[in-house]
Amino acid sequence: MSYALKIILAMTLATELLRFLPFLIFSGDRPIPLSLVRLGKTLPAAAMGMLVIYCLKDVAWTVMPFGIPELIGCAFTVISYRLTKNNLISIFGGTLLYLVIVNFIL
Amino acid sequence: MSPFSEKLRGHTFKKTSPVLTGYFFLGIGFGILLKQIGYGLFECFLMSVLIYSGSMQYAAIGLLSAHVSMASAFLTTLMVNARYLFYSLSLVERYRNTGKRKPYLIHSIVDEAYALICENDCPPGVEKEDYWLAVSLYDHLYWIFSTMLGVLLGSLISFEIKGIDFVMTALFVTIFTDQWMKAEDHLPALSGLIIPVLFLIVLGRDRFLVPAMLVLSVFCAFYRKGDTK
Repeated sequence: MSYALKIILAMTLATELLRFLPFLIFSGDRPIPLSLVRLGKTLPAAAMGMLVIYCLKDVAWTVMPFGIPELIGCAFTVISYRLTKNNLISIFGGTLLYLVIVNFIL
Repeated sequence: MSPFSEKLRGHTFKKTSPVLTGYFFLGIGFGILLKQIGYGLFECFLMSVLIYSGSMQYAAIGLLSAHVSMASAFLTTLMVNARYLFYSLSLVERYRNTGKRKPYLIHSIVDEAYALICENDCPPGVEKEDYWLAVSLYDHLYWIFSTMLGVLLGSLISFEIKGIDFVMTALFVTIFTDQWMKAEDHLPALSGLIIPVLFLIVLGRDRFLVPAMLVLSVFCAFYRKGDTK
């Protein structure tokens, strides 16, 4: 099996586990463990934070341009989302701004 | 022959059209990125049919290019998609008597379909189960179509677009901001930024992810504030 197929398989298994597990275990009157309820509530926000850090892990903060394009792109994304609540404006606006900075300004 | 009546099809299309718009652009973005890291229609089709999770498929671009192990891919997916566990828990009752539709309904649990199914704006004279199935199926097909279109568009671009993978960062920043605005308690979100940064500084960028995930998961599983709700 190729590398990509193995990774797709692992990701499929994990995703389906999350989707099917509650239906397999909690279809009767069995109570849901508190830790699972907590994970479902708190982990999504933590996981998104972690993915943001993961995306920024290769930024060289100590040399030119000191991660400034990334910070500007992220700032635009956050501010525009708070103002418009439109995810497409934020995602593609932020990306476009970043692309212009790294390709045409720097 | 479609198993859905014309009325159901029309209503479902109307209800899911905002999802189509969102998936159209995000799907194309994903397809272009996947093509840029050297994969094609086959991988795209498998991912969109089997994984069917926008944020995870974007994260997969990073993981595939970093050549991570199957175990890290599995763990990362558990964390990134933990919200599905929450969606599933809340749908156990609703999906109890959905019969043959059930496995597919469960497989197609994603943010957008979940929101529409919770809203449950089922047209009169249509079985609820059929409406749920139609919503799930339409959303899934929009995603498969848009991502594959993205791969095709990506193959027209023969050069590498410098910085295009920032679309991933922007996607996660947007979801993070959205969750931040909806939450009263920001500590779980903050821990998601702070803990990985600490591990990144200590362990370096190639080794920080899995330990950071484990610590974050333990923190979230024992996080008591909000238990009463």
